[in-house]
Amino acid sequence: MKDEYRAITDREADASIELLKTGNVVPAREFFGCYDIDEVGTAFAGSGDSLKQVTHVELKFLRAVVKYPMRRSSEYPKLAGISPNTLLKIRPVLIQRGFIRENKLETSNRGRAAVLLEPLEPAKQLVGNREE
Amino acid sequence: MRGDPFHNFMVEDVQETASKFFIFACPEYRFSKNGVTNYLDVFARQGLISLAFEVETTSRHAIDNARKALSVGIPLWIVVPTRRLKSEITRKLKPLRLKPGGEPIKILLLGQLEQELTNYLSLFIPANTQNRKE
Repeated sequence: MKDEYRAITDREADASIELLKTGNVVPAREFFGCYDIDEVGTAFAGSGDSLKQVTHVELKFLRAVVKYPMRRSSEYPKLAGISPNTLLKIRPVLIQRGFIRENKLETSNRGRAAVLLEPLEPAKQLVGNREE
Repeated sequence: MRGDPFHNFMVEDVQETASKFFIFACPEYRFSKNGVTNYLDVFARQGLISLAFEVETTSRHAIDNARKALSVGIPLWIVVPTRRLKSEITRKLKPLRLKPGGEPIKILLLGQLEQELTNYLSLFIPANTQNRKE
């Protein structure tokens, strides 16, 4: 009986993929949006390079959040000394990068919930390092 | 204090509000029942009136905390940050019909706490005791 699980030689292995090199490649539509990743990334904001890639304004904002945590988002432009519009732009970026977290707090009144900003560990690390 | 910073922030706020009304308002109050040690986020007491406050930032521990308050027989007030969470916890607790300390569990927003405490404690004034719902 022929052995189904017989080990093959390197030459046989190379020969088996020859067809793949010569044949026509038809791209699959479901993978159109995909791209190659050349190295393994990490989502943790505190890792090496991302700490260095913080702009001057972002750093000012992070300093204010670390120094005055759990304040309403509307208080930070004054505390950080930056414009509300700038803060509006950088806030989602810093949340996505894992520096700060938003906590919603509703009062008994009507209207939009207050957003309290909480500094996360990478932000504390960054501000701590820059202060030293 | 245990819990994430947002939880601790709310606990501090609840304790501050409770201390306006009660002589004794202690955060992280520890008690032992049947050899098991439990913690209440805030425990407030004055004379014969005592209240347990639990801060919930998710609905995960709502039932555990209600049972915990039931085991010691203290009325429980749950303080939540959003209306959505409030209705979520209400939905979870409603079918259980738990009445720790003989009173239904109150679920409040942080901003409602002071007003509710005023209303609740006013029922213990001798002139108002007949209006109190048991």
